[in-house]
Amino acid sequence: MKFLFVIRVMLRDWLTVHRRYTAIIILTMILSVQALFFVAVKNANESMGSIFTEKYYGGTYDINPSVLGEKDPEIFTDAGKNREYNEKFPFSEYLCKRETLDAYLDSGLPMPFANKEIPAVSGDMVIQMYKLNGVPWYEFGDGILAFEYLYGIPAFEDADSRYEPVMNCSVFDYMIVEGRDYTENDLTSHARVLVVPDSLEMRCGVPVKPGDRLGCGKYEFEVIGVSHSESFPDHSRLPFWYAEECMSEYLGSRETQYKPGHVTDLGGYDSWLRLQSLSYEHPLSRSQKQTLCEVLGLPDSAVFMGYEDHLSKQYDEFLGSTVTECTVFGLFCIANIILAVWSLCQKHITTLRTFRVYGASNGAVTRLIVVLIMCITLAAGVIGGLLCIPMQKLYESINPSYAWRPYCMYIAVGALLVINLIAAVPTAILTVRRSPIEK
Amino acid sequence: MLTLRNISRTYNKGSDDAVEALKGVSLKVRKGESLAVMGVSGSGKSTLLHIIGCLDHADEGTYELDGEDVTRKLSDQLSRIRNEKIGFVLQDYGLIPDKTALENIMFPLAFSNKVSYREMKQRALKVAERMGIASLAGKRVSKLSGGQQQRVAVARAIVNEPELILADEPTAALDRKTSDGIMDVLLSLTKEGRSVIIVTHDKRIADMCGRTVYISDGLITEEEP
Repeated sequence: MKFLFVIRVMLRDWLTVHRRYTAIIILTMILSVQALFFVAVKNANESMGSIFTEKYYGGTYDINPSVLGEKDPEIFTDAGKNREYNEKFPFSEYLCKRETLDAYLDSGLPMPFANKEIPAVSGDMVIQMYKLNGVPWYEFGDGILAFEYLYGIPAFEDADSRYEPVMNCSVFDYMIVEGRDYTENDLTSHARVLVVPDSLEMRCGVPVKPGDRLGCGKYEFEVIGVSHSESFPDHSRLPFWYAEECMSEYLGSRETQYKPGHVTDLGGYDSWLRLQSLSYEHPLSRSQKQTLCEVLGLPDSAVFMGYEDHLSKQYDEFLGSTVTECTVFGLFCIANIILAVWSLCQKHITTLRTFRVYGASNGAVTRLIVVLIMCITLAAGVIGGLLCIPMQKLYESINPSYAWRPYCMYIAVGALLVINLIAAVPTAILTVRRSPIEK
Repeated sequence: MLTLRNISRTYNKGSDDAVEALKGVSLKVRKGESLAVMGVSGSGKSTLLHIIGCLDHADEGTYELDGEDVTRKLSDQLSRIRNEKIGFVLQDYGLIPDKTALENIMFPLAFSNKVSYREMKQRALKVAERMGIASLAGKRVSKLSGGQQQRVAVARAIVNEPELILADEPTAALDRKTSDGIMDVLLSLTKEGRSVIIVTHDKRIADMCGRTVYISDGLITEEEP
């Protein structure tokens, strides 16, 4: 209480007698927060990909390992519905239009991981990755890894089909309107059963019902159910083993039929993201990672061993560049703040000297100065932090891909606190080392 | 109460502009005694007062306060001694101008381990009453007259109930009547067993004290030089 009494009395002085000076200091600190925030946002965006990537990554694929870990089918059904960012990151649209990678880049949309130099991965890579990763495929999407072909599924290809078969391993929302869905037993025993989309009837011109038999490539399947999907009405959900076979056939002929670097590579990105999200649930060992890199010819940095590895790599990169720039800003801030703090203490030197004459210990004076500076810093930090929210719009106008990352705000405010603490402690020590009678 | 033995203090020791402020000063002040220290400017009066008040250290010699050798005490130990045993009436009052009289009086108590926050205000008000400034307690000291400010300064010096009161030119800027009033208060403290040391240029003020010593060129003498 006694300490609070002294603090209150001193603070009152700062806010009345020296209010202009205090205001300038607070303003300097607020600007420092803004500068630090901008540096953090810039680095975060540069090292962690664009807002689209992040939103797509986070929103669609549910990278949260706790969600993946629960293995509740309903979660995946919900995840499928939670696709609010799909429109902003229209893989499927680009795939259907047969856009090339170059055309995609020319469109001006940000390229996911483009600045991370991760090579485009094609479907066979992804399949190998899944295998090497040892991911039990049946753990996803209601027991189905929906390895599908967008349009033009070979089994149902009609004469007019001009679509390029592209692998897309996304999980999509659907409902069984007739018959039943795949069971785990169907999938693990490679049973030749099939769930077909309700749009098939329109496309084939023949009604397809559970119990019918359909020729798909070199196999004959029994139709066990009819599915309906609002978002992807034409998508078929094939058992993984069959999709894998189809992909192998497709990939075998791909080089002669299609130009390399086409849409498949975008699909590869899509799958790449998925692989990475799978590794959160099933972390790779170091030797597995090494094998994967060797098989795929990827640099060590391109494959993450798991969620923690992924995060630590991101943060290493983020912190590396942020620390450099923050150091420059920090030195500037420290110099400014030390000067300001010192001047402020000088304005109170008579008071502090009087306190010492009347028995305030060095520790008490140091605490007093540090607490006072921290009070001002907290005020500036809160104002500066709140200002980050509207300032975000300004940053977005500078670069639309800048994402709102609250932790950047915390980093900026935290950095200010640390800088001020660094400034306050030596100032306090210098003050108490002066003799109380020194003027 | 206090004993100084062969105290020497040299500023800027070892350099060309070294100043020998005190040259082997010895002094004894008894409990309840009032002592006036006189001397011309630069004679070493303030240095002596600072060493007695544990605000400065002696280069040589020993200083015993209340039977305790304080010559080699650490900074924080000296702070505690200043807080508990010594009361200062600083030159030009040394008040914190934008604070109220009561707040100024309370500050020494804020750094004391012996007084709770509740007691602080009660004690400060009691002392203000004794000094006849209770009605001014809520006023900023910058709004008070010189005499009133000096009373606040004396109240602040005695609020911790110290055994030794050091006053540096306590009446320098005051008229005769106000000076006499302040001196009455300071000298009344000796009746309570407290020792009072007053640094002054004023012979009349010195004569009010029980004993006077003179400082000249860093040397102390009982005889007027």
